[in-house]
Amino acid sequence: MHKRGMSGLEFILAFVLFVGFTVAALWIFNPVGSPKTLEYSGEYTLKKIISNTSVGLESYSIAIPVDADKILIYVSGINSNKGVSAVDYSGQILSSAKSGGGYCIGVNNKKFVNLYFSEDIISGSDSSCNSGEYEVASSLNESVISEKRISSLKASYESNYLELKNQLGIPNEVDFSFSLEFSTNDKISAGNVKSFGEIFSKTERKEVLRESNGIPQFGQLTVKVW
Amino acid sequence: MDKRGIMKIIEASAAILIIFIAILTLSMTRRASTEIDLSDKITPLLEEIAKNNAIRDKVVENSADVNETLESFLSARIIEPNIGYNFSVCINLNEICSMQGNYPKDIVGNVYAGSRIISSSLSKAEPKRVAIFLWFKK
Repeated sequence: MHKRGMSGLEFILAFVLFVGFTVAALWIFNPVGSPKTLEYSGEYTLKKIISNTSVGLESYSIAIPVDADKILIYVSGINSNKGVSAVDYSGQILSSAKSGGGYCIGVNNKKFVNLYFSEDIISGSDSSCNSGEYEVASSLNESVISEKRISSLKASYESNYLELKNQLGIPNEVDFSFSLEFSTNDKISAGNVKSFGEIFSKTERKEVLRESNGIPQFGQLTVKVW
Repeated sequence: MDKRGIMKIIEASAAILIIFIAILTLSMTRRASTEIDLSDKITPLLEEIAKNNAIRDKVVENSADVNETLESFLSARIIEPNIGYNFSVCINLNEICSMQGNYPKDIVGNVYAGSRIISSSLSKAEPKRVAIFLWFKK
């Protein structure tokens, strides 16, 4: 028996199979968003996040030969809009404030302190300090990530993701999320991965200026793109 | 019933499937051959060691628990299960600072190394070289 309708059915079946294979091949090989493209986008996004959240940090090591409770320290060349923070040799935070043209540091009889200066450190003022003996031992100028700016980036991500992508110069077809982790319970993260396809993730260990105390601390900055 | 058309579709499907599997296998093999450079991970770790005065003191004074301290420092930061690590604290700066213990057998690809000299603590100036080694594990 010859059924003329069968040729139509065969045609439909062949078409469905062809479309099925083509879609599967495009989905698996993804010629538009290849892993290499995703890798470049991930590295670019990480670089842009770092450059957009970095701040200058000036560090000075100060030796104090005599016992003192508080001491007024003058460091030349520090911009007046920069705040100050201080730690002793073991990393314990010391009180610090601006005082006239100098900085009032609660050295608490410590013989060695580290002072940090940055525009992202908020300082009060204290006029109760007297001048004392001290010596600048070393200094370092570097660029670190600011936790304050990471929080601000997170706020922009949550309020207007598309505008942020535009600001960072991230292509429309690429999506991203980021996180900055100091410990399991101490992290800032923005966005979740919304893809079943390939995801590129890159983590860098970076020095971060903490917002709460103005002290630098190392953390893991992770960027995921898809 | 004429089943020649159906047979041709099945044959064509089988042919596409074979080509598809071959391309997929080739693509997977190519992707596995690229190796990530781990040396970028070493520099920040050495930087963090240099800025941590507690670790500096132990390295410069070559204290008995310096290896334990560095082990605990690295294990907290190298959390990827597929990355192996080792470290050395070398007293003689003119000699090559090689990996302590036996050379690991579970290495895939290269071993990445980086070192930094820690020259002094608050009370002592006896430079030591700290070296970190990273590799991908099988």
